[in-house]
Amino acid sequence: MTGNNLLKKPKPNFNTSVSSRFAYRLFKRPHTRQVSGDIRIGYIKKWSIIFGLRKKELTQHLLAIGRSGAGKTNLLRLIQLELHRIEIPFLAFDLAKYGNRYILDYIPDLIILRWDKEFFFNPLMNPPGVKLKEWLMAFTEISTDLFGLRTASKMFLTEFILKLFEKYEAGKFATYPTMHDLNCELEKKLKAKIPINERGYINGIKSKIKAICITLEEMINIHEGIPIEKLLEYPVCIELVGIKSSEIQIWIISLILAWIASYREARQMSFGTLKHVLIFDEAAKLVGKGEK
Amino acid sequence: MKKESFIISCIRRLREYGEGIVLADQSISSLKDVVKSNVYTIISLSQSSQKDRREVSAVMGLNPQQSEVTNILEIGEGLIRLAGRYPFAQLLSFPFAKPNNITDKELDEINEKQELIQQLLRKVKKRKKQERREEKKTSTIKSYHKEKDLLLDIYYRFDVASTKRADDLGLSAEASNRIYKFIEREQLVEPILLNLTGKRGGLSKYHTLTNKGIEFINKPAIKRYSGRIGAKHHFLQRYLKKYLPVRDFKELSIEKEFSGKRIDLFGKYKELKIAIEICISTIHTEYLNVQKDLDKCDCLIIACPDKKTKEKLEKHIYKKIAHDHKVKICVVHELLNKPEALIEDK
Repeated sequence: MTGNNLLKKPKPNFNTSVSSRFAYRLFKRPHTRQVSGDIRIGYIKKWSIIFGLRKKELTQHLLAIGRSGAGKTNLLRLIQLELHRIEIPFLAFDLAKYGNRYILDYIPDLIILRWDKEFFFNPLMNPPGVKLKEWLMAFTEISTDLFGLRTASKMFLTEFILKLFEKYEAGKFATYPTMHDLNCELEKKLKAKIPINERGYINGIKSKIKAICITLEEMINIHEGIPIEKLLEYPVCIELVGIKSSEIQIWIISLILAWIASYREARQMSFGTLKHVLIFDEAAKLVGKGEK
Repeated sequence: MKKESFIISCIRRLREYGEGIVLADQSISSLKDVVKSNVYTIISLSQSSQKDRREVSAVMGLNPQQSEVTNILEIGEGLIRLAGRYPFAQLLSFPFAKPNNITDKELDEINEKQELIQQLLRKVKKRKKQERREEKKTSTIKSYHKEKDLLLDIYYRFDVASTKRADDLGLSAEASNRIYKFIEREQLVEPILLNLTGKRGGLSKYHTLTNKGIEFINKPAIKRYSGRIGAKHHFLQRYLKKYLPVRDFKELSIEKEFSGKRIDLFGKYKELKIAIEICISTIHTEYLNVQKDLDKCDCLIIACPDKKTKEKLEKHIYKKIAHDHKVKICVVHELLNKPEALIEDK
């Protein structure tokens, strides 16, 4: 069964209730051409019109809101099926429950990467074409923002990573320090005789970096991870289910998002042509009011 | 002005590079305003909270009647509104894409067979095992380096107080505190609090190595003359043996045996035979020592670690035996500082 068939022959699963049937009267009948689009996400039952989004419109983003059990996951699944049908690659994240792997029957070439098995990511490795220092700034900005560290901590973190880059000659050779290297470096520094205020800042960074290293273990204990630029060419789902700290989940997602943004910025503009779609369930964790 | 978060700015910039973003959440009110106002397509599924319904109505531009619909929507129904092309809310039904369950084991098999995933995994450069081992090794050696230094210093210079020792080793107050805490917690040493100078300023902290501590630094065990004595007792025996010669004591020996009876410390002071017993907690039985030792020496000194113990001992001992000018009860620092005053006092 393909996504195409799904929309052509909608299953009569929804027994439209009396109240809902009445509700159709409140909305104007659109002309078919007004609501047609490449990404067909639903249909207006009363008039049998398929509602679709145009590719260009998706570059201006989509927001789906609904209480739990209202059908959000199904809607996201539909969008993924449609994107796959029109050959637009996407990257989705599973945070709390598995959702995307269940469409593997519809999208056999869907790549599912589990954080503890197939997904490897080195946050200290810059995207191709992006200057090392530029990426370093993005990394420290996200990490300190998300973990609520102070500006001084950001400065120390930058200094440490720069030292590590120098040690590994990261710009010249294709070997990058890992997060575990950073943790070791911080530990070493704390063992030395340093002023008490500096110690406080470094302690703050170290506690967070150590928590990341302990939680993510092998996922980040690598010099070079899975090439994300390659992932942008396929339908991919990264499963972060099982990472109990939502702070760390969001840290990974934010870094991937920043990675993609930096990677794209180092290349030509597309002027509105849809190239790729990022799908975030539980968006409040990323762009919510409570987000640090 | 409130600083825009880095992620929001990323999302804003991504549009120009052909990156579409689909966001989904349970409650619209929990999202930042900048997100709500910057999306082209909004889809609202069933809402239960009044606050969210109000906000959805406002964001989607619903009239009061349409607003009522937001909480009577069935599963799989929703309202959609585009920002440009068709800027009116519309009621939609979404087809159901039935999920097919896949277990972790099945996914393992699928991923193993998928050539693309294997190709991607081949590009991963993991840290070499040797690299990890070396790092672990160096970190363990380095992390105990200072602790070992300190333990070795205790082994060779048992009689130095902890603060002076830290000074001699060039440790900062914080570092020494951390190391002392570590070695005490790990029971590598036993702390002993004593005032051996008699001056004001409270007690000084000394340390003696435990068997575990000696094993840790890989050194031969320190000779213990009797297996039943405590760390403080043993420490005082060694300390007195080391420092009493400065006060004209000669031929000092620890646990000197006289026909089956051992004396903690025995020596000579100006041709007088001096027996020294150390009383830490044996207040109730010390009189037995006095009775046994008196005939073997010219003067018996009972050294106590502090004034309180001394007073207790005096009280107990003189209940059992009569006052004798040969028996002197003192605090250790009195013996160390003015032994002549003790011994020659009639």
